[in-house]
Amino acid sequence: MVAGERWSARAQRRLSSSLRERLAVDRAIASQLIALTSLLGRPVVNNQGTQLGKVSDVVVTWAAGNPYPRVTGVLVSAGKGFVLVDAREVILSQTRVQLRSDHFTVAQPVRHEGEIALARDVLDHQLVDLSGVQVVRAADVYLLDRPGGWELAAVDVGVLAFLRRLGPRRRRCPPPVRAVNWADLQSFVPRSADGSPKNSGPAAAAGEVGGAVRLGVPARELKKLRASEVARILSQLGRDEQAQVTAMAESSAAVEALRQLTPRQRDALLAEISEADRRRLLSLLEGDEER
Amino acid sequence: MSRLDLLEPPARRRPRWLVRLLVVLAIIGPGLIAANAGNDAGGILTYASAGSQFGYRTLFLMVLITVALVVVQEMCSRLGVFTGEGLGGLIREQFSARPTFVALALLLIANAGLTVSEFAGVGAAMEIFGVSPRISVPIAAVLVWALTVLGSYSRAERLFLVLTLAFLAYPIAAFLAHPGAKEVFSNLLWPHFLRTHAFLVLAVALIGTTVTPYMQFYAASAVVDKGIKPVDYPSERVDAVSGAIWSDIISIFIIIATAAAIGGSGPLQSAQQAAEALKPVVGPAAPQLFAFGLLGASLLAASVVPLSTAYAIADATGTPRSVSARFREAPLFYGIFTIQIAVGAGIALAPGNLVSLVVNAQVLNGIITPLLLTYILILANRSSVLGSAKNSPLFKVVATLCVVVVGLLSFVVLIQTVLGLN
Repeated sequence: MVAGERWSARAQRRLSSSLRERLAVDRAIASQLIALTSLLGRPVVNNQGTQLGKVSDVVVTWAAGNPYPRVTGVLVSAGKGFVLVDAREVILSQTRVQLRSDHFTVAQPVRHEGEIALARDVLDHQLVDLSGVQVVRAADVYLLDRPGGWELAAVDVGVLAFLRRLGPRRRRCPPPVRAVNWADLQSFVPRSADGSPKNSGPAAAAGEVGGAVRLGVPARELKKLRASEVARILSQLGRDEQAQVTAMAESSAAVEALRQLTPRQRDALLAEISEADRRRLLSLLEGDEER
Repeated sequence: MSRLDLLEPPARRRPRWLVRLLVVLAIIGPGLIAANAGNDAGGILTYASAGSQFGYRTLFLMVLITVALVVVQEMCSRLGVFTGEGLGGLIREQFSARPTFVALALLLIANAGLTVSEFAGVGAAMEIFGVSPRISVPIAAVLVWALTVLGSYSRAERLFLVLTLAFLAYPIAAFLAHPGAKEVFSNLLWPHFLRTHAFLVLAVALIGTTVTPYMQFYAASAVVDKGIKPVDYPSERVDAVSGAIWSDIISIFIIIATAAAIGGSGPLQSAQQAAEALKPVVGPAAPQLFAFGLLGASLLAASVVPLSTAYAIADATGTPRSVSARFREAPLFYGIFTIQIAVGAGIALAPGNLVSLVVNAQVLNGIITPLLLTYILILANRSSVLGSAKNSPLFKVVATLCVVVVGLLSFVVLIQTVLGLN
């Protein structure tokens, strides 16, 4: 009995200490971390505190050499329209976006080279987790406050992170469940819209998809994957994403992965990639065959 | 491209009779085989019940359902071909978290109901051979689970598929039973509906078993697996449309054969009774032939339906999904699969009339169908999903009409059932 009580006291102490540690960590990063799903729909206010609109999306931009894209704009829905506000002119926090001054420039939302609208292009979309070698879906996206400004830091792939979006919105930013470092993830050029002007809503307002949106960081990690890993990943991806992985993977691994597909699947895949990539892979396929 | 064709492995040598049979089957069309596989326990028993309870009166409804089925299956295979993704993933990408959860929950409930009816089908079939469901259902559950998880399912699947060929006896039976041609055609071309609750409930069951949510998810994934290119879509469309029509022609023959044999004798009481319809073809062996077919169809679907739920949910949540993975590597995937089989077999063991259990599961499917169809309709209308392959204005009108009519019927049945207006 006594032993049991002592055990439970010790267990309680251990539990509370781990909880304290966890909370300490949470507090330490709390002010520097924003979960995208908790920011979406929050008010955008001017410096008198008057609400001007709501957060509709967050735009990040790839820059060569930096694996973590910088936040460059906030898409604000005001009334029936959308405007893009430059990230340098706002103060981001977990519960709202505040404009620094009354004078700010707004832009028509047009997508530029290397820009990604996080809610539209990343959240809920497929990503390849290169550290765990599997296809995942982004249940949440985390922004981190760095000396140079807010950056896209990590993506949550936990099922719980998805499930908590079903409940009522919390007052504070929720802690990560299964966060994967953004540098370990391969993202994809979004599925192309046909760009018709009739397209309305936040998806269209976040910018039209340009002819050739390229995601800056070359997929160095993707090149390290073995053929069987490429094949497994290919089998779980959508059509556009498959073509991008095939084009980016190491040629020999891609060829071996292609070989593991049925002829029809292989044809379908080759039809999607660029002429140059197709010729390169086909010549390798044929070369192997002749040997 | 032509060089790629050379990479296909050379065909294995097969006995001459088998080659001939395969050629014949290829001419009859893969659509027929696929359609036959689509007639699961729920389908067979619901169509037979329609024939026994209302004679030919549901035939015109089946014609309307065929139109809806063609429209829906075409949309699903178009979504699969042009996006290369299953419906689970597409819904997650295109709708926010709550609607996605609702869609997955609805699919889970519909498929759980379907799984119950598959195990009830196993029980009903084995009862004809004199085996109690208390013995056959648990054995079937363990068998299906083990075959799928331990990875030797594909061979068993072919055996089950061959068993379902027994149902091809229905079209022959329908002719041999000499149904009044005039009556059949008048019922096919003009509605002879009854304004009763029982007729309405059966109508929703017929919709639920024909335009099944599971078949929609399956159609999209199947074209993704086959690797069909957008360029090749026109021929895939022919396949999807003819498969849907074939499937319903067989269903209509089941209703005609049963109506001619036991029409007007009230709701179907047992599988034995449904087998009566096959007597014109095989005489006293009818119950056994029927039982073989029902057993094959039930076992086939008892594995495929829970598996497709597991794939859809794992796809939408982005968790590992593969029958070749180990249990620990894909816990959500295997967990959903296992729980559905356990719960399905468990409920099928509950005492009571197996046939009415099966028909009730189809009513549940019929109520859920219009809700899931709404998601599919929205997806296929969006140019951000399908680009120029999105629904044309005319198609949009027809598809919306189908969803609204099916939705209204289900809603009326739901309200009547809740208020107890029988």
